[in-house]
Amino acid sequence: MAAKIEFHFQEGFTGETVVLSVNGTELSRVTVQTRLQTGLAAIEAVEIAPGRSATITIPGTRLSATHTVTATDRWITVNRRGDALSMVSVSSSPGYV
Amino acid sequence: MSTRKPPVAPRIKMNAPEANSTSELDHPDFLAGIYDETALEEPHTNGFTPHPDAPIPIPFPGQRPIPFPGQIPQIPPFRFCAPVSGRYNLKPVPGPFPHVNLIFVTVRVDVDRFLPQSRISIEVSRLIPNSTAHAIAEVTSDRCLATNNRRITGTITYRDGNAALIPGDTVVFEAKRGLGFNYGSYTLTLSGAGTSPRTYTLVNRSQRFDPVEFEVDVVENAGAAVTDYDTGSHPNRPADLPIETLTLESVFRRSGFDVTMSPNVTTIPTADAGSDGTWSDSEMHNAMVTYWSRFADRPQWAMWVLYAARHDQGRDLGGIMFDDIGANHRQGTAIFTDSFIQDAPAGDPNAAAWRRRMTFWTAVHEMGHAFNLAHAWQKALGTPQAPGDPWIPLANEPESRSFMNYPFRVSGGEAAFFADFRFRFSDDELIFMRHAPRRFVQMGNSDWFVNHGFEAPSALRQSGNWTLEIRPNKDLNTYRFLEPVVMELKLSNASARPASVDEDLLSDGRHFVVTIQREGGQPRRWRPLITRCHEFEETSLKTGEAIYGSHTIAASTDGWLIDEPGFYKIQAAVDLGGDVVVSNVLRLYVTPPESKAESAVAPDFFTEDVGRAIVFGGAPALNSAMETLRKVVETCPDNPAAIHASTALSGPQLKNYKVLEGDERKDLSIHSQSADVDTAAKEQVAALLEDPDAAAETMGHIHYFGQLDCLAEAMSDAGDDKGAKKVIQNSIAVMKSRGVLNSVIQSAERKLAKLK
Repeated sequence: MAAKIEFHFQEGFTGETVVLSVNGTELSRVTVQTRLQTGLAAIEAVEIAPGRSATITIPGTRLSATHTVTATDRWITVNRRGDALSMVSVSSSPGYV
Repeated sequence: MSTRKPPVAPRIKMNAPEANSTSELDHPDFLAGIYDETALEEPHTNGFTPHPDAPIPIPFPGQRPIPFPGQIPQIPPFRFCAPVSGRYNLKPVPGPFPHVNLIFVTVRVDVDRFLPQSRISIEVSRLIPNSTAHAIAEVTSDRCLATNNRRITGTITYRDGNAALIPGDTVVFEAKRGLGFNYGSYTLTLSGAGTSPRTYTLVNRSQRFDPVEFEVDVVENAGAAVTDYDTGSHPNRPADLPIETLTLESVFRRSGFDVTMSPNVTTIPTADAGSDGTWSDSEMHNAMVTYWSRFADRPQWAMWVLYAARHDQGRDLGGIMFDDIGANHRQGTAIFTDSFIQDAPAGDPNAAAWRRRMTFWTAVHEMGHAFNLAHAWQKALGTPQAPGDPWIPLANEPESRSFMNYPFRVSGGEAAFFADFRFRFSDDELIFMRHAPRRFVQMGNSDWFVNHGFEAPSALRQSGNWTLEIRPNKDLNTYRFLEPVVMELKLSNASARPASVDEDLLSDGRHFVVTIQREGGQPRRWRPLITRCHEFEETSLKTGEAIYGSHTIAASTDGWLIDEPGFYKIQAAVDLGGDVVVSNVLRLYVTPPESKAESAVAPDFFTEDVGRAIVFGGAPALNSAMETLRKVVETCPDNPAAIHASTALSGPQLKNYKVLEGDERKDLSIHSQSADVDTAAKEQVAALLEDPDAAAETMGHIHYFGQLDCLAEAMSDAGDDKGAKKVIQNSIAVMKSRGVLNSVIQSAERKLAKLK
């Protein structure tokens, strides 16, 4: 059964477009820019069933990251550090200050 | 837009411990001074900042650091030097004459008291032309040479602005005893790098580095604002953490600021957040404009702190420095009391203390952003993201136990963070807050994240009651090579009421300064070839009225200041009883020579004697200079310099002229040369009236019409009223065509009426 998962786009984004796909199907496309006061660029919430693969790509670059969703996943942080994109499932809603 | 705040009773605790209270002197982060001269023989980073594993160099814990007669150490050769950290300014030099302070110096010494960073920073502002410099020196030696005789040496490792204002690379700060046991004198000496030592005598202004005011307002549904925290209230803390009640005030005071809490505390209606009851950044900005008693669209050491329930973003936003809106960033911060910062972990041994600590931490964190501090893991973003960012490149501090790190982001999470957290900013952050160029740090100055620890500053506080303008009387600020640059000064009463001023303030050459800088060159101060002592005559100016002065600023007592093709910047200032009024900066261009004749005469023209001959309106005793001027008239007739030369050559002939003659002192005698008004008048009429606009432009209105006045008077005195009348008629016509003030035209018309 699909559950709502929040993708928190956090550090390293400077106004690029990112694409969120599940098992190869594009679910959303957003432009993200990190707000340096909070370290948060955007939060994207989608329904994804466990076992499916969520992939974040940045068109025009080779950057992508994939995470296989589990039944306990609720929050996934997405960070760009240089030439790497990372997706990490976290156990509580990330907070920002 | 601003509205008055409704009066509401204060709700915030503000009774922070007083500075230098016994508890603060006992605090392990506090260094009360140094003793003996061996206190800092090894690298400063070890011997200077208290370290948990090293003894803290406080000779008498718990006692005041400044020795009083009864407390002086009795056993020689023990030496103790009291703390010197704080802000210093150039000691004012009293003088008999009004003068303009041209240089402002601020020194921040950071070697003891709370969390010393072993730095001396120097800020120099020059009045005219406006120029600033900033340097930071790392302390390499700190010696207590005798009781309260302390010498601190540092090496400059960071510069910003005009480096020439802070020459050398070595800084020596010395504090010495006065007549008593306390420090009585302070000096700063700059030397090294092949420069001559320069010493400034300083006066101590404060134990801290800058003043700042915080105003806390609370939205009515946000609950009580948490502005203090008992460090002993939660069991997860460093074992040796002093148990004390910290406040917003004490945290920033220990960070180096003279903190005052505004008494204007307001409860803000929830309705200001709009129908949704949550706050957007723009709604908070509007509230700041409305409720903050200090709000202004300008940089100031003041900050607004809002406690609200929830942001539009939702419960996951605990606080934000929301003010990256408009021209003046970083003036407002917000803490959200209905957010995740209230969510203590399940099973926490003291959930109430956890929430209070998290709210207090969030408040200081957001306020840190207002000082332009970045998150601990974002520091390295500064340089690549802000091209030209002049601050020291910083490394990320992802594991730092600082107010600017996220507790829940470090290894081990927030429990690991608070187990080691000592309620302080990191050393890099303290250095930035205390020593970075102040525009980087001051609220409302540099934009958020620009020049961050990752914008003169006006050194002068001007009343705004006066405006000073420096201007040429020509459409374009372009001058021909050889053309003596004449500038007009205009001082206007900009206040709403009449004001009195010395009517000769701008004409006597003694009460104002003019500085000229060829672009790419050093600024030089103009020193007038003529100064006048006169009886003080006060004149009253109504609002908008002005007094004027006109001067040939190209020539100075120490040579010509404008004698090469290129661009120049010119600025003037006048001191009105302590109210220093600074003019606009005028940029002008001097064209290259247009003929071989101009180049050929230049070496003889740009001499002190020629400068004097032009400024004096002729100097027959300076034969060589007068010959040069004759050559200019003959070989460069279309150059405006020929107009100046012609009037200087003929001027002395308008009246009987006394000349000192003789080679030997015993042979000196005064001779009178008879006037030759006819000859002089022909030459002057040709120079001044054949192309009156050209003459008025190069001489300036005051000189030009004054010269026509002299000519008419000389002709009238010589019996040529008809000629004099014609000169004045021409003068009036030129005045009218050039838009001269009616009062001046009317004065000329009255002279005309007196002639037959």
